[in-house]
Amino acid sequence: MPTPYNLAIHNTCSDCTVRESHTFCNMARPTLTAMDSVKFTSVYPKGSVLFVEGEAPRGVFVVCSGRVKLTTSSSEGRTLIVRVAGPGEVLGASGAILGRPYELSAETIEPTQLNFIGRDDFLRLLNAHPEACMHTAEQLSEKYHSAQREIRSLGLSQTTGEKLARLILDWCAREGDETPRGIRLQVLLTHEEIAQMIGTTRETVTRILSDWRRKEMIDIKGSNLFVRAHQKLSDMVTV
Amino acid sequence: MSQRGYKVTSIVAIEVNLVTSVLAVETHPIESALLDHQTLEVWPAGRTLFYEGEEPRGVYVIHSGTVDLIFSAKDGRAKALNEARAGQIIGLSSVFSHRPHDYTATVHSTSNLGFVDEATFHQLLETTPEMLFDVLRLLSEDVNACYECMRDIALAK
Repeated sequence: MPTPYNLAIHNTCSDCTVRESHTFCNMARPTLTAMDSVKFTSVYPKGSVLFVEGEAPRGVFVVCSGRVKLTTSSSEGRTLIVRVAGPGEVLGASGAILGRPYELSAETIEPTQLNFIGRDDFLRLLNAHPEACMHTAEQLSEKYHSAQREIRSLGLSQTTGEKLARLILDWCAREGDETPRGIRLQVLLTHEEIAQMIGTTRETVTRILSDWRRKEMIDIKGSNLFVRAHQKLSDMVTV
Repeated sequence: MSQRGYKVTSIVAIEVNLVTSVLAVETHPIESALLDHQTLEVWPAGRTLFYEGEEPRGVYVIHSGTVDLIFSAKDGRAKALNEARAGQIIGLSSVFSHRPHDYTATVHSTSNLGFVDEATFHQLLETTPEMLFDVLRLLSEDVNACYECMRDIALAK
């Protein structure tokens, strides 16, 4: 049966076929049944804002498929993309647990299926099911370590080129496909968004990518970026 | 020397002002559990609690003072990019998930620290299940503090 955006929709967590590969969702059936009874499943188009930095926490979103960018902004309106979340991640957990405004904003960057759990239901789920509590703690711990890696890169990288090289190498390690043309990455972010991930301007990102392309270190075809000189990029990274 | 039932190993007589300690004024299960099992010590400025890449040995509860979180590059450059203050627990995430430390923690100003070793911490988690929700709360605080730090580094201009 056709589904919106041709996404493979997972209606119930207990019968979800991909949950074993998702950190948070890989729980025992009683916990998943409890989660099924309190979650609301929706499919969101690209560009949907799930919550905004500073907003009172309404609950959490569990990403079933698709990707969501998490951003923070300065008082002058500059934006930093903190990370891009994927399937199996729980968004808004720290705000919901602490009962404080969301620290980040969340926006889908491709059609995305999400399960929403209201704050009170989420807290009840955590209290009643230690396994859900443990998996949430594991996720928070993972987010903490990932944020520390970003702090290191933002604070110690000496050039913008180094920051961009590290970002691309991270993508290669996570989701790169080996092809005869090099490591293929599907980049769904605009140059503006890539700039927001490393704290620079769109113009700088465009200039560095063009330079690397000229030097045949990378190649770009549509939304595909091919890394042709992985070692050269690695040599640029000092952190 | 022992004070209020805590094990104290430092040769310096410790006068931890528990009234001003965040851990003492709040009543969460983790805080009373850790207070009962910690080793208190005064750490002078410049002393290092643990090094980046080291396996975690336990958690440090900061009662007073500040601790620099220092990150280093492959070429040896090192920079304090974040700090931890009274009320925070250092090393919690590494101990919880048993991962090497992401940074070197060095005392910035003389600090009163409580130490709970990794085995005791995990034992407490098993015997005091209510503590798990507090771990969630503290990890949430830590994650938010990281985002604030990232914002300060990348967007402060």
